[in-house]
Amino acid sequence: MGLRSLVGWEFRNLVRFPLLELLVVVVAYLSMLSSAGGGSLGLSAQSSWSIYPGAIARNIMFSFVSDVQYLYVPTILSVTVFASIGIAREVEAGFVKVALSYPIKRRDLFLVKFGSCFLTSLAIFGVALVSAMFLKNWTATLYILSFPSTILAVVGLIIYQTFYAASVATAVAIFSRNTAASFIGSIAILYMPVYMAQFARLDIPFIPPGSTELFSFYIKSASVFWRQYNLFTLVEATMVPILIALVLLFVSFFYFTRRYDLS
Amino acid sequence: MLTLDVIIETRDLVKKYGRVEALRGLNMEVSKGAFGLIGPNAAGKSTTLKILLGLVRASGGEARVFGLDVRRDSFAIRKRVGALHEKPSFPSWVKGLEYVEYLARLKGVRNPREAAFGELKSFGLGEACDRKIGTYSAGMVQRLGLAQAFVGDPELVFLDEPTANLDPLGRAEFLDMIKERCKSLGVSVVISTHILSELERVCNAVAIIFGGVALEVGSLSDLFEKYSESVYAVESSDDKRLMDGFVNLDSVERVWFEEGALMVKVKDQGRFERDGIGVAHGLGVGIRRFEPVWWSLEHVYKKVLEVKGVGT
Repeated sequence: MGLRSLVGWEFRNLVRFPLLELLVVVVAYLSMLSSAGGGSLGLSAQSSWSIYPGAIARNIMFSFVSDVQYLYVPTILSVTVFASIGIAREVEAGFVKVALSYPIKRRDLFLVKFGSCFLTSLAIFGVALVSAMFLKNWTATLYILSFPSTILAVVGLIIYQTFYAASVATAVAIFSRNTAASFIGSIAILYMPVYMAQFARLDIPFIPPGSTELFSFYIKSASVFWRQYNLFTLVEATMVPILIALVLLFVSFFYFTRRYDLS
Repeated sequence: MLTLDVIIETRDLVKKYGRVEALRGLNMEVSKGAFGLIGPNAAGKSTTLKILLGLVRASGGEARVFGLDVRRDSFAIRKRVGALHEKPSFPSWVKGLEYVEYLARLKGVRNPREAAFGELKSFGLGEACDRKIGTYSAGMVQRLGLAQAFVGDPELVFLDEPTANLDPLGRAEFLDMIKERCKSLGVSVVISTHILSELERVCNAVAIIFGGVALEVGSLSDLFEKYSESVYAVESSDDKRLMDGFVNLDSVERVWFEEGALMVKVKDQGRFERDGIGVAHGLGVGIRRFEPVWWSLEHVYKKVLEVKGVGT
């Protein structure tokens, strides 16, 4: 009963600003439509549809998959906001102290907080993705739907991106205990490697969003040309961020459940 | 070994925040009933309560509540206790009733809405329970905190500065309610406050904490017996002459003026009452007042600090 109440409370808290969710959905939606190549659904190719239907289908798939990387921006936006208001703000304001004065296990509170942050963001992208697919041009969507394995892979890619961002944001929120520091810190940590690498002219393809491009390449090449995946290459492309995410989750979980003083 | 009545026990409890030692070996036993924690700011009172609730991890020593170890059995302890933290803060976007109902659910209360409403009503928030917490005054937030601390019929309630932000009438009502609950429902409370007169009114035992150690722990009657001094207040027609007369008495330890009266600290009450009156008659000084001074908890507190040689 207690755990169910906790889950309901967390989700209710995170969706109490519908404008925020709407904003993220719109940003995600636009990300899916505004990329190079005339939009993620290959809409610019519509005029030449009848000439090379096979090539168009391939272009549609290419741009659709490529555009997933642009979701990294709204992912970071939503996940860092949710972690900041759901974790850091609650620790800072003393709400967590009140909750933990009741019979709740710290383990449960951590998992519920991380889970709600992760799943709420994922739900938003689900809405954005589906609306981007169907609202703009549903005929092009039919082409995409003819590649169900690619759809699954894109969903997997979004889960992977969100999981990575949620782990970083949760860890920063727990260690910072401050709403503003959590928000700014998470964005900095999630984006810093990319910009630092660009600045130093280094190539670090294993950190999102770079890694999502790599992942997209495998999806595109596998699903469009061969309609099958090479599991090993997918794991290879995503392994480093997933490892980083798991380490951060474990460290923040251990700290929260064993060492976290709520003074 | 815990006796049946002892519900809290700490042994050499230590808490360090970095280099700062909040607790330096706190030893105390708390029996059922109303218990007070007294001490200056940063004495370690709130830290002690947080350790007992499992919110803060002790650096050393041990603490038990209901005989359960606060580290290993924190979950089981929290099923049986309630707490009001110092300067409580609650989510402003939620209605009072919804929040207390949610907390009651966490506690596994069978009828959470009913229980929440009952507590809010008993703390004077019955009509405001459907308002968002953000619209509450500071006093109402404090009452909400008290309501959530008592929801689910806890056996023991920790109250950190419970009367802060309450108006004088609200304080009196709250203290009466605590006494009533202790008496009729058998709820035990541990109150940490700076307002010693409140503790004196409600508690039957206290711990005086200073610098992270308990200087004294015991029932109020024992502490009064141990630390009260026999002081008499005397008002006369010529206090100056009477003072000179009292100074030479064997039964008198010290004489001084305070708030318009002659204060006489005596070694032997019986002898002083006999000799003192005799001296006044001998000097021809008329006595208007001659009575022992009633000691308050504040006097005892100051005396304990003085005897233990720590700051006042």
